[in-house]
Amino acid sequence: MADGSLAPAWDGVWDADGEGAFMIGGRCGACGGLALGLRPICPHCHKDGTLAAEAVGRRGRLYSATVIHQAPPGFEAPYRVGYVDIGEGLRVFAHIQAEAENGVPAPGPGDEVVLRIVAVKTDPDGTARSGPFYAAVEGTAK
Amino acid sequence: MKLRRAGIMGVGLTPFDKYDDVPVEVIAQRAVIAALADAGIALSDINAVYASHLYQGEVFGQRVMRGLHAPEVQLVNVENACAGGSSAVRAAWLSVGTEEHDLCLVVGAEKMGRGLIAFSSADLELTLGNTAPAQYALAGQRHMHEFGTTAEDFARVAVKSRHHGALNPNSRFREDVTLEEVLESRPIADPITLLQCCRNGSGAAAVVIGSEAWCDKRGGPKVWIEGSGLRSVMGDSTERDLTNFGATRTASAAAYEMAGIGPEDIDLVELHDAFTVGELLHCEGLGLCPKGEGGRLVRDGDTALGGRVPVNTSGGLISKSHPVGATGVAQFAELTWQLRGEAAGRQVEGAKTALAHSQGGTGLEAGATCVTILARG
Repeated sequence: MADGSLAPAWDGVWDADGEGAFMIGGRCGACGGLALGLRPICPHCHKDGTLAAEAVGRRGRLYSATVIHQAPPGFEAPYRVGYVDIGEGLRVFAHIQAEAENGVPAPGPGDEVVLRIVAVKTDPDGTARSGPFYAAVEGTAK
Repeated sequence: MKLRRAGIMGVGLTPFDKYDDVPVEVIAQRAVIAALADAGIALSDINAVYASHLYQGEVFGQRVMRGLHAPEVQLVNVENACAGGSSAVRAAWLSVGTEEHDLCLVVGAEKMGRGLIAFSSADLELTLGNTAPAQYALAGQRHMHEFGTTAEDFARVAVKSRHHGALNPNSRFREDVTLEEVLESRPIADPITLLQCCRNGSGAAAVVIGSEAWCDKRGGPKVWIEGSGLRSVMGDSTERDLTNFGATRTASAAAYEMAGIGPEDIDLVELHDAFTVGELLHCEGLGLCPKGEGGRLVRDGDTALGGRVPVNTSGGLISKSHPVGATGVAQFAELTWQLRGEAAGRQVEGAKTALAHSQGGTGLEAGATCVTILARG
């Protein structure tokens, strides 16, 4: 469980299991719709209390990414962020691999990416917080 | 719905700057006093006040107006992030148009801190390190990917707008900048560099909107509001076309339909250029050029003074800075001066029809866009 010991920057949106990191989807038991994160109300059918957790977003396709050079408090610039499309119409904001790793170049728009959970920010008291990070999948860059 | 005609009778501006030692109420009062004088009315003539701000606390409009001994009238504080000012103008126009009131005052004001705008609401993206410039950068990166738009194309917007700002005595930054200076300024969120970002600023703007009878009483050149669209993006971690960036297309379609005109009829535009990427994408969204061709628009000089449809003759937010609640109202001041033929040094000759566009929001999950069309009478 990669960095699963870290406190998340936001509760209930990502986690990891034996297969690796995943985003937490909320699958509606009433309409079958999927939302990002467990939440009380289904955004599709508006039923209350019908969502159940489901692992989604282990892989996705990078939609767009930028390198942030002026960072808000708690973040260390430069870092790359972007949007990853993970299927069923869901799009996830996440940190994105910025440099080549072990010969795999950083992903560009349209490239397949795989999720990890890594430390992304530091609280004022020094506590590291985790967040989603998508990296390129070897051999899939276009 | 059939609305009666309503026009802009008067405008006032407290030019955007730092104003470290001036209370925001005073900054706002100066704009109100200027607008009342321009309209040729007394404060006691006003039926209602719409006050736009984001960070100024409870009953801000009332705090502004009590210092001017305003009469006991309807006062609504309007918050729609950076589109608050334009939303307030729209509300005042509808109030006159629907005959609720005959004469309305709009005031937008803000006193801002420095650096990145600090959003106060909880947002997953912002918590993970997204920033306002990065939101625009992500839209710009996708535009580059899909349409071959270049970093230079975005940078040219700043060169163009800063030149306009150099011609506008109300602009805060009045020096021309070169393409090289823009590209080589400090990177903020690729492809956006420092000179492609609006600065935070403080300031205020005010507009008086009156019925046709009131406008006749003022005399002089008339400026009518012909139509307005206000739409919101309420994305929820769902796939959307980021190269549209915001609700510009739907808001402008509503405004054009109401005014009975199309983008080809627009002589000049003030639009929300918080970042250069936004200007190009919004130009496309307004229909000033086909989708994907925003880069060509600025390369060819179409949006420069003297071009086909000048954009941000005031210098835009890039030259003026961005006091959030005032920004949208200030656009109406610039367009009113232009349509009256009073925009010395930067006048669009023969301007008859103008469009105001502003956009605001937090993260990319919820935002508002207001598009309003004005015409010389």
